[in-house]
Amino acid sequence: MGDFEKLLEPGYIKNLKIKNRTSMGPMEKQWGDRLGNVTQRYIDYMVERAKNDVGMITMESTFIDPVGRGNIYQLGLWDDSNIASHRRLTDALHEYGTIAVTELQHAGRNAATYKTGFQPVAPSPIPCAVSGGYMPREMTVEDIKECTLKYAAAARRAREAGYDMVTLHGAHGYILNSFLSPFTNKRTDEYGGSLENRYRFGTEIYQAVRNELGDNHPIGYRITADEFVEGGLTLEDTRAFIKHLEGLGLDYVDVSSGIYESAQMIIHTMDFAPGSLLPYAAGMKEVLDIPVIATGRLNDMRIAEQALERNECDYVHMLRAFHADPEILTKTQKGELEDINMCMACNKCIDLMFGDQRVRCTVNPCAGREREMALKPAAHKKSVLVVGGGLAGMEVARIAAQRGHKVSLYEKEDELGGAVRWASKGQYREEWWQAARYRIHSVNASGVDVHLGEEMTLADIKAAKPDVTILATGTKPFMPPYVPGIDKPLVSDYAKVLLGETKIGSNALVIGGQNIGLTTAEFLSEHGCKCTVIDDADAIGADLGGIKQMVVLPRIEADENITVRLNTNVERIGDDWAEVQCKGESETLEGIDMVVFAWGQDMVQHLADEMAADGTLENFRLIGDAVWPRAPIDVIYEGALAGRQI
Amino acid sequence: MAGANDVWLLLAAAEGRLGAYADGLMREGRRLADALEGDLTAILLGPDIDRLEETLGKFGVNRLYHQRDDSLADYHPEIYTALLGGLVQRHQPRLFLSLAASLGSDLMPRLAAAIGAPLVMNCSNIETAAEIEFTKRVQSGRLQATFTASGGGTNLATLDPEYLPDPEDAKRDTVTQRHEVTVELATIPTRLEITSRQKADPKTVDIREAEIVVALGNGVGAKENIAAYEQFAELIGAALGGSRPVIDSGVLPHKRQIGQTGRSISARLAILCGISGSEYFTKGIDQVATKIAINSDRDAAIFKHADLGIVADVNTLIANLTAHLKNGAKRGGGA
Amino acid sequence: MKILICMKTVRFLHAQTGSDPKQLNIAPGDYVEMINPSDAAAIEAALRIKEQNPATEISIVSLGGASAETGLRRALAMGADRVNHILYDDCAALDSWASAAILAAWAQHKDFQLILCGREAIDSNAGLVGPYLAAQLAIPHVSQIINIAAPDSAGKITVERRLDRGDRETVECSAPVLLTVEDGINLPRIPGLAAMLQAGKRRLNTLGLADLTSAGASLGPAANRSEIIRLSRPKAKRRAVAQFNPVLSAAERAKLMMKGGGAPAPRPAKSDALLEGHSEEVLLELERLLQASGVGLKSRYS
Ligand SMILES: Cc1cc2nc3c(=O)[nH]c(=O)nc-3n(C[C@H](O)[C@H](O)[C@H](O)COP(=O)(O)OP(=O)(O)OC[C@H]3O[C@@H](n4cnc5c(N)ncnc54)[C@H](O)[C@@H]3O)c2cc1C
Ligand SMILES: Cc1cc2nc3c(=O)[nH]c(=O)nc-3n(C[C@H](O)[C@H](O)[C@H](O)COP(=O)(O)O)c2cc1C
Ligand code: SF4
Repeated sequence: MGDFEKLLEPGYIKNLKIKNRTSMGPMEKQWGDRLGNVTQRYIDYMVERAKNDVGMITMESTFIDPVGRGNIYQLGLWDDSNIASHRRLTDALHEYGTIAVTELQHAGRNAATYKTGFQPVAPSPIPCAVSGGYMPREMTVEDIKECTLKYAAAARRAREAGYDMVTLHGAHGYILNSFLSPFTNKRTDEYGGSLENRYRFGTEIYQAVRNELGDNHPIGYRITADEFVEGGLTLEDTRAFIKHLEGLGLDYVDVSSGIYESAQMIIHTMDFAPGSLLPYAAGMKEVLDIPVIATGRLNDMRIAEQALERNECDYVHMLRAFHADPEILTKTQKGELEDINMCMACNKCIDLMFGDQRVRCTVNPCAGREREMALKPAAHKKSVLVVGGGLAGMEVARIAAQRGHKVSLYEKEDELGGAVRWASKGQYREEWWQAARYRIHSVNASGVDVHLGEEMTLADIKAAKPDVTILATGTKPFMPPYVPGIDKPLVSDYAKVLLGETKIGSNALVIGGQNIGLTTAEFLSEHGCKCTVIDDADAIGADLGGIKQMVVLPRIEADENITVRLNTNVERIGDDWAEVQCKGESETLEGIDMVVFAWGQDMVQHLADEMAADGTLENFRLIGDAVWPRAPIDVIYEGALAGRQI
Repeated sequence: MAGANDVWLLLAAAEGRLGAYADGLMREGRRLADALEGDLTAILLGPDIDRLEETLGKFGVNRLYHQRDDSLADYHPEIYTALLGGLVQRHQPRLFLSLAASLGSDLMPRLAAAIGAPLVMNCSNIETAAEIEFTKRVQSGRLQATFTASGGGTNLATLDPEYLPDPEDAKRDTVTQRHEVTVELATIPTRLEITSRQKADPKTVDIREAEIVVALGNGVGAKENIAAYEQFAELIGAALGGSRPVIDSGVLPHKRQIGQTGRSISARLAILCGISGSEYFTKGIDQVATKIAINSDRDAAIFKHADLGIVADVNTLIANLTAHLKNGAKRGGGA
Repeated sequence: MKILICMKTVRFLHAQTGSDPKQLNIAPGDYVEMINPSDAAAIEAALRIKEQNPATEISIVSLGGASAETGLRRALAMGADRVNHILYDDCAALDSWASAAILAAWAQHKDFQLILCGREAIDSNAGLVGPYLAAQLAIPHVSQIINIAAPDSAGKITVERRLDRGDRETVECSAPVLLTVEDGINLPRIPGLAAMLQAGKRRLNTLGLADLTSAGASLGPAANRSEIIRLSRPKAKRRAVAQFNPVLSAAERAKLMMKGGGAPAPRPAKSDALLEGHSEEVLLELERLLQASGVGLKSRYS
């Protein structure tokens, strides 16, 4: 397609031909084994991407030394016994002409003792609170020499394992980064202090790897262009360092940003503009001759193409974009942009990883389960009736239809989307709509018979006599009937407010300070309404996930329209006042013109109960938030599974 | 007085306003004039523009040469060459710049030949080192070449609008001195005769290039309503574009999406219908000269960007406006 | 009628497969030599004029090294009548003015009524030889040509040009005139094998600079007005990069980055007041603004 000319143009790094400009960036997936070996699950996942034409894939941070292991099920090349399984992976990718890249990492001060069994090592004894606060041991010069040898040995293994290129992980606060940065390197010997001294560690590692691999093997460097901490590295520093490595024969640079202390700048949430790191890539490119790989919320091929067209970079790392939809490139080539299951930067994947869990994806339930989730045509075609057009209902409907079942979907509102309809409101949250948008498109494209504005009753379902009934009836706002004044006209709920069904006042009390409450409060603030958010917990936004918290909480704090009160409950509500109680002390808030409950969600289960009691149609199943309100990732997964089990 | 380190700009105007990218051109001109320690002079040919000196002053333009003549509104190569050639030769600025649009690309080589000055077309950057260095893309964009010109005197260059700085508020308070130029146009010999001009078909023109755009947002409502906008657009000769939700719902093709993940438009007039004004959208309308926003929500952010904001139901308003304009046309009025 | 087409064999960089970034990743095989596409379009346009006016004679001139011969033979095979090769090996040392001066020295006094050049060469992207040649021959020039009507009996030539934003313009002029032709306005014909074989046997008219006696004109690099001092990789627009300067605090830089870097400050509200509803008054105000923005409704559509 002429529109994506730059993206589809082959490129060369050293003598290596890369078939197009797309690249899947590194992602620790936690799908290795305890020793750092590649598993079949890993290979299946990568093959699915390689099949769909991605030009090159960087696997993930791959530890070179058990002391510097970052995660429990991370890949490693720390021992010769790792080579065999990595070889199976690179062989599989090469079958599709995809370039395989490994990223050699030593986590340094970011390593956690509970994962490694060792005390972390670092240039200086400065602990990293984000990864557990383990006090690192300051490396001796002998440690440094040994680390250099380990890097070289890992590079040799990488070559023997068939990796076409090797990236040195010099970003995200890991060991290379921490030696370069005055924020973490306080040494007074030849490895710290002056610029030259801070360059030394990285230069020696690079030289050792270069000596090991020889001049013809491409070596790159992933750099944190800006650490985004006071006293840390900025673009001026980092590009000077890369320029220095370029002089020593570095072949490419991969431009990332942030360290653990500024983790929100590593993996950008939906609050960031797409391609928000591009100015940094361009800034790097301004002083360099070697190819520059850009990264960071490049979830849309149109943004990627634009970046290439504007010479802001030479390659685009699209990590989560390929995680969410392995076919993003092939669909783009075919011009089927609306059929792309777009990563919406919800950051669930990274929250899972930081939580020591296997990485999955909200919008793509098949990520990491390629084999078991492969769609198989239904053996017996059945009629399937789905009630509820939210994420779970749409997922089940489209999957069942794609497998050949005859599916009808009933939604009581005039629009599909369910909870995403309100959850995607407000300037920082609209990307959530992508999860619904894709499913709406897919439901229609899969031939599901969609009925909008039809609320199903037991009688309706019985009359339709489907072979299988799926109830994905979702939730409604929980309104505690015991709060005096709950029926006053100024009382509303998050859904009504976000959907624009309640007139927005000027001074609101929002009850609930978790995700839904904060969504509501920011929405009200955007519309010029002051609000007081109360929550009986000790903290707001506990359900946001680590990285989102780093973005959302400071924003709430800085928002002049929003006041937060913790450990606070609502006692009663009057016509223009509300009484709240904090640790036994009551207080009346005056001059309120809205009270919005964002306390929680109430499961809508009556149809399931009625069907069970009635007993005529036995083959029914309740799925999604209606069972128990959870994160979208679980709800979509449940729909995906149910659709495969019919 | 004009000096040998001055930078001159050729501005273009259309319908009583400075043309697209004029602000970027002036900002670049000012940067270069500062670097050369010279003054910035702008030239405008054709009808006058309201509060022109005030605008130019904000961009740091020291001097304006203007020939107020309606016949100059339409570019004629030979007349422009003669007129500008005379001016440039008389004042000998260091740099003479124009946009690399149709006019500049046609005019500047003529001017260069006429006054014997070196010219680099379609520059992406100009820097003033020991010499002035002109950088442009060559090999159809694969490489860039940096040029220097032989000899002193005036250097000519056209600037690639893609590379001009992004618009931002202009804050200088230079007093722009106006000089009216009065060259007797009738005495300029011409060998070319422009017999007609044809407008592009708004239905097929690239949305980035369309002169008039009707942009549809979510507020336009159901797909069935689109026909009325097609009719309206046709009536006023506008191209249809849309915000992301409208594109996502398949009403218009991807190529018609305006905004950060779509295209940037540079229309003279854009009518924004039922668009809330998200930053992702407004990034695509920075370069639009006149913006009319219609929205039923009086607090909609889009009004902050609009020259004229109307709080109304957009479907009704557009239907009424279509009828009104049609009647007007019948009455024999203008638009 | 005598038509001349100035044709360049470009050395076009179609890929960058070299391993050395300092050499801009250019490997020797990355260049292709080909007829410049807009020159080919000019040849095709001339051939179409000849189809209507068989009395037309089409000459081609090409300034270049030995490799220009292939292109000239191809032009012959396409249907050109005469081809002329001004042999000059170091064309890279010539700027557009110097190249035009050589072509002018050759073309003057040869009575071409129509001279066609391409819009620009896709290797140098200068776009100047055509207009400079017209200036040096002191004949009128029309640029951005997308259509040429064959000259009428009075020798009047009508052409259509492409303007910005997809608009077009019709221009009348009389011979002699030089036209610079846009790329992609036609599909240049592909000569058949027989024609190619035949063209291979034809003798080319090859000349050197010394053959172009031109009183007082300095030819070759001496006529240069500009020179390339450096080739480099294309850079991004300077836009947001500068704004990430370290003077800003980490938090400020982070904020800027979230917005995609250097988002322009929204301009202050322009409208003093909002209008409301759809009364006659609102419609009239809208009509006024439409008119002020040059919506030429009546002339165009009523
Ligand atoms: C990463 C990302 C990239 C994006 N890129 C783009 C992009 O490139 N382009 C883009 O456009 N968007 C983009 N968006 C989406 C953007 O943020 C907004 O959601 C979108 O522009 C909103 O479109 P809208 O104004 O048409 O719809 P809405 O925000 O839904 O606004 C509709 C407006 O219509 C008004 N309205 C409703 N009914 C009527 C009526 N009857 N009469 C008058 N007015 C009425 C309402 O008051 C409201 O203001 C992007 C978003 C993200 C997250
Ligand atoms: C789950 C997850 C794991 C990641 N693991 C790594 C890693 O191992 N090494 C690395 O350099 N970056 C890692 N990153 C950062 C990404 O490579 C990338 O820079 C970031 O996600 C932004 O790009 P994107 O928007 O295309 O996803 C990880 C990101 C995610 C979401
Ligand atoms: S989990 Fe969320 S952020 Fe991660 S890839 Fe999937 S959609 Fe994107």
